[in-house]
Amino acid sequence: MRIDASHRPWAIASGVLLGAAVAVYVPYALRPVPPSGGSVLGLVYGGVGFACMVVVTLLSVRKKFPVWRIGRTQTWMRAHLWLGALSLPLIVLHAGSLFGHGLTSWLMWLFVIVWASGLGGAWLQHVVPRRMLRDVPMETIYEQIGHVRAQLVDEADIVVADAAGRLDVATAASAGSVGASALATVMRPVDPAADETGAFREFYVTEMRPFLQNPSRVHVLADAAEASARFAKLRRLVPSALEPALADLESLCEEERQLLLQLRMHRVLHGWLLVHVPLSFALMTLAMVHIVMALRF
Amino acid sequence: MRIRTAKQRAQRIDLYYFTRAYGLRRWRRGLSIALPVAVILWIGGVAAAGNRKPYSAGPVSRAHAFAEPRCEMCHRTVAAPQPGQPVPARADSANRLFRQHTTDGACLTCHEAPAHAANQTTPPTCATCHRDHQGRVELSKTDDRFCVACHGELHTTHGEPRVAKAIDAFPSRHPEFAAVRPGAADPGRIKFNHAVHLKDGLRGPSGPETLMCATCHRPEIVRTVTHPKRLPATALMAPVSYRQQCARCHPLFFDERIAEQAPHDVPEKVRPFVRQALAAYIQRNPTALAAADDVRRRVPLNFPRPVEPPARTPQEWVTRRVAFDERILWNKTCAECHERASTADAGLPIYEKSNITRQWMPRAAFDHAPHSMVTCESCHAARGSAKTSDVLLPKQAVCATCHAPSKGAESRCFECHRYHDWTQARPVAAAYTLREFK
Repeated sequence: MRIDASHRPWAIASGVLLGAAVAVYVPYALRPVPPSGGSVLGLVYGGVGFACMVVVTLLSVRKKFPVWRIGRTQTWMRAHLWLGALSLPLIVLHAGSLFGHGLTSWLMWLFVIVWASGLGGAWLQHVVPRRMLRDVPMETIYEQIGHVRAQLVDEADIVVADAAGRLDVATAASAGSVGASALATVMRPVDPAADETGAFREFYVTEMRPFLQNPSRVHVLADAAEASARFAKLRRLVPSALEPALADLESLCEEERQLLLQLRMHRVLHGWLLVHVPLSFALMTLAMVHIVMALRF
Repeated sequence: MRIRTAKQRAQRIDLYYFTRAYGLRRWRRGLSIALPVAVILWIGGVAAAGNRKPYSAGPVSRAHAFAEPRCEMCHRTVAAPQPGQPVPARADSANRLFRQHTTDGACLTCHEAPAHAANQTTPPTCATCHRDHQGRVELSKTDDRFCVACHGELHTTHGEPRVAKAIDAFPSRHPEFAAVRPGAADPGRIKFNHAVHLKDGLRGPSGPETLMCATCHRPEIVRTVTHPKRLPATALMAPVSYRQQCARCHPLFFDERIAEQAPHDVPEKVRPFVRQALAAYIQRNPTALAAADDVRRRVPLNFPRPVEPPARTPQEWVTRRVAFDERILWNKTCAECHERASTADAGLPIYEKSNITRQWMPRAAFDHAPHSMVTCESCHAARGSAKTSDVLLPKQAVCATCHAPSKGAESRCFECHRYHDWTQARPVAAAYTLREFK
């Protein structure tokens, strides 16, 4: 979710609440007795902070059961962002600006990591999608990338077979090629001097097909400039009748590169959740233990 | 240009992709379950092992370190004893509710904590000032803000406060010591001149000598309201004793014929001693009856005396000598140091009580031992004092030479003051056996 003008009421409310909390904290901290989480005001800060944590955690439940329709998802997301941002200062005020010892210390550090990862994730949510829109026009559904890749291999095989004739190879079905053409073949490199399509086929077998099957950022075709140079060089070696096929192969390479980029961006855009979500559940578990033990002792 | 048909585009979509958890989502789901489960297992394991250290708010003080594994020694609800009632032995929590916060009763199970002042408004709880779980610190070294909480703007339940109403940090907002405030005087009634006694080459019993401060001033153990149970042996200086410090140079000879000195006592006891001594002398030396007065006197004579005929009887002789010797004693010997208040019916003088102050600052604790590297005169301006009424205690500024926040020596309230009135301390009944600490 992008933070735009629609977040203004939330931002104002959070700012006012934080300002009020700090304003109340200052004279409280200047008292003879140092602030502590067990004091009345400390408990108020802790209670409000924990309530914010509970609300932000409930977002996962709301998303898990969308048919319940308890409020709009956007509202929940805004609450998650702003109450989540507010929770850390409230908990710091609850703790009297101390990190404590033992369980309380681990809790605070865990909280800082979860909070910081959330901030980082919110920033990524603002930056990465725009870049993806600009740099990956051939974007597909992330979970479909494997499936699409298999289709690209099949499509390339067809292009080459149509242009250079069917190659004498053994048959092996490529995994994930659901709905693809049944022309998955294992091809042998041929002698480039045998005919005028030799260079074309050799390029495909030795460079492009491995790239399509196991795309890697270190492959020469993964770099647009390098790939363009390769194709330009190949154009000089093949007859003009193969120009359309070469163009198709180049397009397929470009699509593969974009899928690579999309994969990487997706992992960046969603990888932080591997830290944020599990640690937040651990945080809530430990927080409840802390509440029980702190109130008891 | 690659041309895709509608069928090709449709075949591009895997219709059941959403039923499988891919990569990141699978990991996220797994970790979201595994981490909380790991936390719960850890909590359970810690609880099963009886280890409560993770829940501790921090290491306890040095004095409580032996009981650190046993949280329940302090974290239990015990009612504090009522004023005037004996401190009870360990009382188990009458009602073990959920809350097990420390209470004053738990502290008083092992510690005695006499009240601060009878007219104190709201006595703080033990844990208000003595905050444990702050590491291996000394709990008795409380922060100034707990004292200033009341003494910054002092109110009482009844009567006027006996100390300044606004006291803050030392020395910035601390009143001048009461003993050395303008107008303060030594209430002692012993005539003494420090300046004379500290001169070089004083006439001593064995020839010229120079007195030092330590010649007369010795440390003494004094038990007062400000001293804790354990007292340093060099806390304060003992009052000067005639017998120990003065008699060597100021003997109480009263008659050249009598080798003994008069007792350092009230005139009612000195007179019979003098009489008995003279009576014993004339009994041993009856020929002295006829002897004329000798102008050479062991005790200097400052007034003329007419020549008297010899006494006819021993009683008359004793009576004459007693009168004469008493005149010297009351007007010279005793008057050297003692102020005469009046005369009793029997003609005996009544001297003012010496009224030597035993402790100048009863609300402060002081120990000379840590200050032994400093000369006495650095703090006590004795060499220039000629009058008894001079108060030779140092002013606050002298102490602040070292005892100030910027100077390094401790300057917090506890360094000199005690909250608990230890003169009201009562014994605490033993509550634990050694076996319980093994």
